[in-house]
Amino acid sequence: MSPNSDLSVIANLPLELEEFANIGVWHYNLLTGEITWSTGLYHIYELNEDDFDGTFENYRQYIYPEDVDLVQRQISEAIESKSTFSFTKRIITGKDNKKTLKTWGTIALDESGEVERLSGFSSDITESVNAERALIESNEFNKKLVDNTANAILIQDYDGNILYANETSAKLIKAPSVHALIGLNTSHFHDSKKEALIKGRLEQIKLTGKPAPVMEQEFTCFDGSKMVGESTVIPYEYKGRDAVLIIVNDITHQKRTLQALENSEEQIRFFVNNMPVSVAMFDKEMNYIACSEKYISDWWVQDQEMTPDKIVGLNHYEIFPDVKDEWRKIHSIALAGETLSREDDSFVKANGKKEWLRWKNTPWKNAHGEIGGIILFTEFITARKEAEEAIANSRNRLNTLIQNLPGMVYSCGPPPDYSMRFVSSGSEEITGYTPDAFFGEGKIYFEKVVHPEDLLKSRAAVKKAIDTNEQFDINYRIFTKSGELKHLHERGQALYNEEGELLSIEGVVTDISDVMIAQQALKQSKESLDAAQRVSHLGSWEFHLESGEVIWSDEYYRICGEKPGAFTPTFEIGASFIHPEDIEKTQKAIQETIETGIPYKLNKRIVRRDRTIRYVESQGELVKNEVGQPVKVIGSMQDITDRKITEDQLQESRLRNQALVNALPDLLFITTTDGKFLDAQFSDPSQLILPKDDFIGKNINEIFDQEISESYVEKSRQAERTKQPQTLEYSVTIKEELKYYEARIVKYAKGKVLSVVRDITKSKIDEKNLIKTTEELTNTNAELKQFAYITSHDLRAPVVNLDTLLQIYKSEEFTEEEKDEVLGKITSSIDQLKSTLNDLIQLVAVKDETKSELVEVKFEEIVNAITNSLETQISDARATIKKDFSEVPSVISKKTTVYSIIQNLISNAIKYKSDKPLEIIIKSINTEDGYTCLSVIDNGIGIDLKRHGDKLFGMYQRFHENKEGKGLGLYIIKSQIEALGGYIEVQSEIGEGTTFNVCFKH
Amino acid sequence: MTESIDKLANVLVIDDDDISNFIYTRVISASGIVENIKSCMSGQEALNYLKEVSENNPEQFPAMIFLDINMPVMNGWDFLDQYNQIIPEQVQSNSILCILSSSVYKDDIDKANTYAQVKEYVPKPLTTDYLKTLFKKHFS
Repeated sequence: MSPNSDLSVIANLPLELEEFANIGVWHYNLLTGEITWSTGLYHIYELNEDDFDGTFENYRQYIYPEDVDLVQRQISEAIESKSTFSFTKRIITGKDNKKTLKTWGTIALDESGEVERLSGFSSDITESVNAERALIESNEFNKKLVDNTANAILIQDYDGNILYANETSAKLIKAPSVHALIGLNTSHFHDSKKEALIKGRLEQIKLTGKPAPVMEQEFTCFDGSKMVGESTVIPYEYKGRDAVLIIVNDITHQKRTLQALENSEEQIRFFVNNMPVSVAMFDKEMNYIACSEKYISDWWVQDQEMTPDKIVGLNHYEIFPDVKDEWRKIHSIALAGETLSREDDSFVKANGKKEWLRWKNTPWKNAHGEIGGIILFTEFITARKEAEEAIANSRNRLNTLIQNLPGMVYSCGPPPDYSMRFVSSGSEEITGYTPDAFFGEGKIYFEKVVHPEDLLKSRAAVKKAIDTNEQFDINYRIFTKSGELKHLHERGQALYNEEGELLSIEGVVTDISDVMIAQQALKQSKESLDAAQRVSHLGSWEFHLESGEVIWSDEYYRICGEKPGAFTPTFEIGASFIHPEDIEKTQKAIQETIETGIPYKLNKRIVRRDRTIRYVESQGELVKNEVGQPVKVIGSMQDITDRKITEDQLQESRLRNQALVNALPDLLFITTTDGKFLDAQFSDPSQLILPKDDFIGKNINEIFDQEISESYVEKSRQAERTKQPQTLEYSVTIKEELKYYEARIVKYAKGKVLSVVRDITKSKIDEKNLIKTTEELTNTNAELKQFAYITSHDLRAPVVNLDTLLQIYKSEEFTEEEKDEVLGKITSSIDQLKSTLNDLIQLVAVKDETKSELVEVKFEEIVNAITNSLETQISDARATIKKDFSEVPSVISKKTTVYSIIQNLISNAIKYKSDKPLEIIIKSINTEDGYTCLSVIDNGIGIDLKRHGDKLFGMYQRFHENKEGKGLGLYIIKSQIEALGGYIEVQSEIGEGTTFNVCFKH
Repeated sequence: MTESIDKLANVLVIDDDDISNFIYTRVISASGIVENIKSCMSGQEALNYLKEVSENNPEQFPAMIFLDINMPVMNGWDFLDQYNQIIPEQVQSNSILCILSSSVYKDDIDKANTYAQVKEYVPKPLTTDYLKTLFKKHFS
């Protein structure tokens, strides 16, 4: 066959195949410079035959600018090396589409061995490139790539010694193992003619530090066979050494295909064999001439192995006996010269799965123009079809959703413009503006319609959500086109691309005006209901049968003495507020209402947490749903405590009357409300102050003192006016005995009251005794506490000191002087201890003395005894003591206490004397309010009362530095005098002196 | 035991009772950890001293102050109130203030704990061992 007939076969025969597999054949005649394309290639380039003039310059214009150099280099290298080649380039088609083509090429030599022509085919791999890219993104692919890359990867130094090789390298070069490769020089595998070229490449890499272009080269394998690979060489640092990384892609297979192309007889078969799609070529009898690997893998289901080689010559119907009649018919139509195809055919596979298929049956003609048989192409498109369907469905759904949503869906650009990119038709209903109004000239910015008061707040919320990449949920108001105010809710989110760049903000706006109005109305209605309930003390409640949920109104809480909403009520909590005696009947009533649907009404008691009882009237009724099933029980509870109390009191009053009439346990008087005695009844006349005849007809003010009679008249009037019983307590002295009475006064008739008088002397005395005992106990307790404090503090201090001093004395070595010093300190500590013990004894004495007898204590006698006992101190202080007891010489009191008080005061006067000679005046007077006051007046240093007045009589208070004392003296005096029912007071001026007045109650 | 601890330059003891003062001075000096022990017999005297030191040579401010509660005129609590006002916080923070009391009453201990500047409540007697524990806790 001549080259021309080759061309016609290549150009014409595989046309169907070309279209189907997106493949085009090309020839480049180097003598004429003419480039010839097959029809398929025109389709790929999306050009008409007129658009391409066949020159290389014209061809170059369609190549992606960045790839032009690559194409030219590949072609010139192929011519130079006289070898086959392949490369991937990008083109811009006649319709401005970007495509990626994989081109395989081979050379044809003339008789003298010069390159005459380049031929090859280009395949549109745009989709697979895209798919590959998508796949690369998946982790699984990455993992597989790492696990077993199909490329040989080698690292060698610049002298060609192999430093590293992967498994694929060893496999490709047919080495026994990776280890066999390490250390070998790559020149072993190179064509020796190429050695200089390879060296040159390496030097270039070393010089520029840039990767070398992809080079196709032949390698000699370990077993002597040849392997063709495309190698990419990249400068690389390996274990600190300069090296190159070589990636070799085995293209032997493609090479063989291309070589087969050169043989016109074989070319179609090879074409078919190597097609990346499922294709089979039959003769007129439907015997296989060729088929692709893909065809076998798609269709061959039987056990024995089948290959594109083996299948040749076999009959289609014999090896696929189940071929349907329908298909046989299609085949025969194709054999008759017609091309049949279907883009989306479906059939159900044996396993029941629905498969989608596209197919084409087309006749092929031999060089004589006769039909030689048919070519069958099939491609399973189930996955694509399913994906398409899913996408279409989801698009449809989304679109339907968007256009039918009761709101406005939008997509807008980033801030600050937020310019709209998409607005759904819902905008008209919500804003009054059609979606178009937000675009183009004079467009409306959405922010313009937002209520000015809400703008900043919603802007801030959106901004924040964008910054944090969170969803935003905002409520705001707008004015619609017609000026109507609407409440809107907007929920949206910003969308970012992988680089974190803000693409758009998308969201949904809904009209919540109705909700807002309803909420407000609800709020108002709840408030007015609340108010009404509060006024009427009527609480309401609901019990939802299914959920068990219980709802109380605010007033219900209040009736139970709780803060509204203080807790979530439950049936159990509700029951816990009901009086234990009322729980059963309440639960029974509710249960019956649920069962029968008949409302209940009952009175019960609510017990608040503070144990107060409220009387309530409780009602409940069953609420059913549309289909008559019980849903909830609703009820009310009215606080009728006040009414109940009144009723009870009335009842009580009636009972009392009854009892009085029957038994008359007390004195019974009937008087006018002005206090005039009208009648009296009694069982024991001895109880009366006066004989009956002496007071009947008299007014109360003639018999009792003013205070009692006025109170009686007032209470009587009150009893008549309020119709409530009044009580009056009073006391009178009868035969020198103080008697207490309680009068209960009730209205008897108009202007008349009935008063029941009872002698309560005994209970009154008991009560007084109780108060006194309690006071005493309180005092004792306080004293015990004080005692404990003193013990802990004042006794402990000197003991602790003694302990430490003794340790020091024992453990350290001293001079005699130092020893004396420590001993001196020990003595002082013991003195302190003694003095504290004395104080304590006195305090205890105060308590005991409350029991001792009161006697007449003569001041003169006591003071003399004290001055005698303090003689040395008095003379040391050169003090003079003046006494004047002429007005009140004595007092009824306890001798020891009086002694102790005066002694303490004189000691204090001496202790706090000034530089002047000390003068102490002691005198006694009687005050108008029934006290005998003993004054001790000195001319000492005085006390700053402004500073210390409030603490003067406190425990452990000391007001002078450098003075002995524990701050107990005045505290003891105060305790003592108060125990006797008296008091102590002080007057003082700094530098002038101090006066203590000790006042004894008569 | 003391080798690892630097000696404290100044320690102040405030107690109106001269016996207690005597004992503290003895115990503290026996511990061998302090260069100078100053004792004051009243809160006012101590305040005057501390004010003077904090103004003129704050580096000499006592590293530890032992304060008695039960004192005449100005008791320990009154002292603390004044101390807080007069002495700058910065200076206060360099000093460990310990309440030294013979009271083991909880009320007193609780009250001491309400004062931020009180770092320790030391029940009497003050012993050398206890002192060393305190030094260790605050200065090592």
